[in-house]
Amino acid sequence: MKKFLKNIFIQYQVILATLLLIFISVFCISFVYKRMLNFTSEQCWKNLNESSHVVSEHFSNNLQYQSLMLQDYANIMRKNEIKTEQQIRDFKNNYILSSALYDLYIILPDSMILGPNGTEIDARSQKLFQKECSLGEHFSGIENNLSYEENNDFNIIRHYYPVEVGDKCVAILYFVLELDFYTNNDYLKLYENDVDYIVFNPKTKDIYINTMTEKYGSVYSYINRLSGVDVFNLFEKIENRQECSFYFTSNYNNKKLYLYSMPTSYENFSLCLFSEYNVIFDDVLRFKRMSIIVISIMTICYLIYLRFMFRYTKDKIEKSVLEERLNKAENATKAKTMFLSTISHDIRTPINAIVGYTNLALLHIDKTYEVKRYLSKELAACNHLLSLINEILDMSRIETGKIKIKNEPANLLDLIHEIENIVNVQLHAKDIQFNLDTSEVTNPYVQCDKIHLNQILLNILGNAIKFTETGGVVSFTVRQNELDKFESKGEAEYHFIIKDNGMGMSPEFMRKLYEPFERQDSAKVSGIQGSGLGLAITKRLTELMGGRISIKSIVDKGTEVSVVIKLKLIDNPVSTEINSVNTNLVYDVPVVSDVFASKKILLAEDNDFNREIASELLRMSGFYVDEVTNGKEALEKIASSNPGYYAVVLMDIQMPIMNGYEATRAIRQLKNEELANIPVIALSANAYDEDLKMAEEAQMNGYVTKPVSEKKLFKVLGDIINKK
Amino acid sequence: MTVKECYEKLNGNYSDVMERLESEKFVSKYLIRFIDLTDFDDMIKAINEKNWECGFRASHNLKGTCLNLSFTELAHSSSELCETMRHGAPEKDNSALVAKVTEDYKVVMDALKQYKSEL
Repeated sequence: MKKFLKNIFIQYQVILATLLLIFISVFCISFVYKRMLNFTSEQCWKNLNESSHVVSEHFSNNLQYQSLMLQDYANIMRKNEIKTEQQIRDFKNNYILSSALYDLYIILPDSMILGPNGTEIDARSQKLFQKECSLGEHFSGIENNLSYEENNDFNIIRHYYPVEVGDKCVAILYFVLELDFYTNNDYLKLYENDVDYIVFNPKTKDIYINTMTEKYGSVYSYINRLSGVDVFNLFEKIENRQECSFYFTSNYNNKKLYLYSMPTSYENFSLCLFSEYNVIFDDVLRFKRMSIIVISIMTICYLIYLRFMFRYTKDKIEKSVLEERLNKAENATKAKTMFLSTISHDIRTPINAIVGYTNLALLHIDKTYEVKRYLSKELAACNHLLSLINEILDMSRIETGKIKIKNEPANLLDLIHEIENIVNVQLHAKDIQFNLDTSEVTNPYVQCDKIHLNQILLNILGNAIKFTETGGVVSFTVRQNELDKFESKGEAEYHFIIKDNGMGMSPEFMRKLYEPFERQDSAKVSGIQGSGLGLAITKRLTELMGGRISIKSIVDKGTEVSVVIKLKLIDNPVSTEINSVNTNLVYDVPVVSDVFASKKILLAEDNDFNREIASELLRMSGFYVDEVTNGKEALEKIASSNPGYYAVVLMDIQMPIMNGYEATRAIRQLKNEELANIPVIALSANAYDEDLKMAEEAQMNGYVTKPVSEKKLFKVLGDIINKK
Repeated sequence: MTVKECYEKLNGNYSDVMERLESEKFVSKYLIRFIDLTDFDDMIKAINEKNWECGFRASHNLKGTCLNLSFTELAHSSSELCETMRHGAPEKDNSALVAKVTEDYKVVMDALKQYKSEL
């Protein structure tokens, strides 16, 4: 089961780790994607800005260069006082280099234009000279399709410079700046020439756009067709020479268009770069496309990995489940086999005995003595078989949870003496000395499951007797540890300690002590009957009652079993308990009086046999009996007891070590007044006056002659207890 | 064999024991127990070894047990023997008393063993 759970745990850990990895990957990718997108967008804007700057600067530089050149030519003319037409023609032919960057045009006062390579253009009808000479250095509007320059297919701006020699304007010099030049300019290669530009001349209100020249008014319609742009705002910003950007959507094809306007540093022109979004932001789009591809590939990889992982996990779990089931099945089979082999052996042994003794009895059917002997042995085998089957059934009931622990009022001392009565026969049969000590039980009235507590204690005590050799010692001590009232809610912890000096158990066996059917593999045990279920049942029952069991054992030294159970205390004595004890008695001896019920008596008698008889008579009448074998032991027992624990002492006179008189005198000297005044009844074979006198002198409270007569004994005891 | 018959055979006082202990079942149990007691054997062993203190204790135990079970004859003879050893070595030879106790003990044991075998 553990392995199965561990496998599932590991598999889910792997899945969890995978999902976590995916989550982190998605998070990282989205973070990087966003950053990269911003970066790329910024880069695109920067590129656009830089391109606009470069184009604008180039445009300004050309104009400036033209201006400087025109100034130079004018200065030469002024210095050399070139005034007349012929002088101007000579100047044009001799000074102006044909290899110059721009072709110089000179407008004569009659509006004839001297062009490059000796060409002349007649613009007299336009009266060009008169129109332009008074305006100083200036620019024409953006024009095209004019007839008086050679390259008239281009859109141009004329850069006029009137030359005054003396006070008179003698000629107008001008250069032509071709606007279409930028269409194929290297500066826009960044956009692979998919970008257009607009040149604004705010002074003349001219606009050059896409190789056509228009007035503002006429391009409004063009711009207006582009939705999302505030045309007036755009032109206002351009006229105010502000660097600005706009984007809008074309109504024609729904494409996003971007426009970046940059004023020139020379003169008042403005230059706008202008293109579609996918041209300007080509890098962004490319990045997006790349990202989609990368994310798609990663997603596919993750899906494949997850699929593989889930498949692998599923296989593992299924394998674990199957392994678990297989293990369970194997364990069940093993348990069944072990159970059958153990139990069949254990059952066969007594059955063989039954069959064997039955046959023997049949063979000797006419011999009463022999038949009796065989039947008694057969009965023993039957009893063993019955106890074995009972134990198996008990074990089965415990394992299936069918045993319920009852809580009913009980008198622990009754229960213990009942147990003592049951094991007495076994104790005597093996001549085992049995020491029962219940002196530390201050409150015997508890709530417990009598039947199962009885079963636990009988089992342990039975084992102690079974595994102790003839003449050994078994002691049974019951202690009561009262718990803190607040914590315990009126509960006490009872310790049942059963100790023997028997054969003990090996450390190897101790490890599997509570396993069903386990028995110590020892030559000594081989002759002792048992199923190996007793301790397993005892442990489980103890645990069911909320208690614990602990065992200490040394080979050939003995065993000590300690059962600790917490029981609820009850205040009222359970009178029915006494009756139940009496009804269980083997002998038909009536209860002498209720006054003895639950009273504790200390019996001091050196003769084992007589002590046993007296003890049994006392128990049958309801007394709890503690036994000692001489006066010294009696004194020690009384001195160490709680005041009021013993109701009375029955003291033999003739005892070794310390006689009854001496013991009584010593008791009367005890410091505790209640203990010192405990009633002591003398028990003696002598009944002379002097004996009575000696008893009186020793402050004994009564006198019973031996051999003990039940009636006389209980009369004296009754008198003493009633008097008390 | 009944308890009464057993008592007659072992020279005991059935009516006395029944008056004191009241139950035949109870008495019967202790009759059987008596068979396993070792006091007599201990006493003989101690006397043979002239260990008078142990001899006294064993005979005292035997006497007490017999009185309790009303084995009159054996109680009487064992009591006499016990008194000879109360103060250590007997003042005069007690072998006759030992023989009497042994004889009485045998009568008791025979009766008890028969009683037990017929239970």
